Amino acid sequence: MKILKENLLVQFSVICFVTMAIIAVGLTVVLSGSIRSAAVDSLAKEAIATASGRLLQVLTPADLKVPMTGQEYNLFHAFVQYSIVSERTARIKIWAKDGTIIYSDNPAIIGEKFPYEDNFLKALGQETTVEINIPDRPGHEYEKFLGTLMEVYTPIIFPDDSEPQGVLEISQYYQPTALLIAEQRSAVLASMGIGFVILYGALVSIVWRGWNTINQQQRERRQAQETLEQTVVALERSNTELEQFAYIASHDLQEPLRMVSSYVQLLARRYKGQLDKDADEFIAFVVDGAARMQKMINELLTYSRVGSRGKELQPVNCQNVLNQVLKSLQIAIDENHCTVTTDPLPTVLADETQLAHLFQNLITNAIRYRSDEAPIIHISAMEEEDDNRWLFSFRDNGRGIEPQNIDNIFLMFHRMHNNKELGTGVGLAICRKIVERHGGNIWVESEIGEGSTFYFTIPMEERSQQ
Amino acid sequence: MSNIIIVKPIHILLVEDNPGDVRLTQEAFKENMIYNNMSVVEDGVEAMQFLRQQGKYADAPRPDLIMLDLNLPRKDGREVLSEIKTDPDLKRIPVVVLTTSEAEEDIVKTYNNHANCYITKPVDLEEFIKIVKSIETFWLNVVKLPSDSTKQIV
Repeated sequence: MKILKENLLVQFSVICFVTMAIIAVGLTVVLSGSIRSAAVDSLAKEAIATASGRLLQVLTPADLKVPMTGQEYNLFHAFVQYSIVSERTARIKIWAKDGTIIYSDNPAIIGEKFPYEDNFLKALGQETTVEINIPDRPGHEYEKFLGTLMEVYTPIIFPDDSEPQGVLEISQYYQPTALLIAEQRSAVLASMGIGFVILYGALVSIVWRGWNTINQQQRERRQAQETLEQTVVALERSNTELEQFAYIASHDLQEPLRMVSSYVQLLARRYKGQLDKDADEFIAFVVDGAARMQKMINELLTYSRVGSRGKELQPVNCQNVLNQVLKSLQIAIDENHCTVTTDPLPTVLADETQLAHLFQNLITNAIRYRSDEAPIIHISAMEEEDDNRWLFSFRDNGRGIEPQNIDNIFLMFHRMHNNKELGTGVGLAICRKIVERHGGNIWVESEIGEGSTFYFTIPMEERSQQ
Repeated sequence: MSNIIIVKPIHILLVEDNPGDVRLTQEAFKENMIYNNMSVVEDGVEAMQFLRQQGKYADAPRPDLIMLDLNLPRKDGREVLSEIKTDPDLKRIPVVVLTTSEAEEDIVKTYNNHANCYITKPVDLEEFIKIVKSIETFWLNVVKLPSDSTKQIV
């Protein structure tokens, strides 16, 4: 049954055959019927023509009034046997106007009256009727071999008359016609069969081509899907490995870093001024390098933890988060005489800690990369209904970003400025990782000397990659 | 006659396997110039022997304060903490866990096992020196230790 459901070709074929079978059967029945009645009509006409003609030559209206008996019967019966009964005509009966049997090949019923016989009455009303019977009379079993009998009832109308004087009943064999019907039926079926095969062949070729195309497309799609899934699995594995690597590397680096950093600081404290000036300078470089290394490793650790220590997304009130962040940055804000304004911020599905981190990094950058004017930072959020997401913007009036750097700033450890001032370069990479973990995108628009606006999106429903 | 206050030196047991960290801790204590004796053991087994005054540690003094690292060879610091705090004789000694781990589970488990406090070793030397100073000030000057400690006023 499965092949029936899946294979279009099989389905089509089955439907075709069933339909054709139904049509064939229906047509056969209908045709048979019509062929039959045509045949019957012509047979009946033929029978009537022969028998009536001959009988009217020997009968008179007077004969139809009295049942035949004795010598009269014998003569008439011989006549009938000789000139009317044949391989086509089995026997006849003659009925008087009142329903009395005037003549029959069975003498016993002569004189009997059957005035209410249906066919008789119809014939009397000048309507020729035909009744088809399978003969079953004792002593007449042989007639079955000769086929079906049909009984034709026709009115006897004399030449000068207009009224029937009696009814003629002719029992006519049917078989030759049965053969004819069978022949005709075969012919019709054969031609139908050929037509059907041609039609089917044509249709099937079309369907087959379509079916092949569908199959092929499905196969291609399945392959593409598999490739995609494999790629996803490989990427996920690679991602996890990278995160683990970043975490382990930065975590295990802490200890040797601590040794270097602490002892060099100890050296500095203990021996400052006791060694020569060069030594002091050398020590200063080491201390500084160690400090920067420590900061970078911590940032790397934080970056790797965005994925691994992320919490489940919950509804978070951005306004509250922002207020807390501003509070924790109060000193820097005051020192730099910053003005921070915000539009009403929504509640979104997020990891609260990470969102705070994101806000903090963006604001810290705005302060750090300020121009000579006091920094003005404006934060807003817009609902983008079509894409089902919130669009946040952090606009500042800082020094701006050069066009060639705009794409690079979100990379890890990318520096726009020389050396060690102003940040290690992971802050924006962390921002991007956080935004992407929430299922959004982050980008920046900026003009040198005018300021920068950082945009990021947060989807309204959970669409993140955990 | 003035009261003579003789203060016996404070005994601190440092359980730490990293010699670099051992030296750092000693130097940090030296910076603060509080008179104390520091004993150092390098693993958990030695630590328990010391505290129970077994074997080569038969004459070991009873420490007033234990500074314990969590990641130790032979017997893990977490086990040592557990043993100390379930021993009826040893459990009164304050245990300051001084370790590199920031892991939440470590912090929780350590306090569950009744450590007196948990401190993460900072990377910066200045920070470390400040922390050591505050440990000393708090545990050895501010708080009252039980009378079987060596700190006595005569």
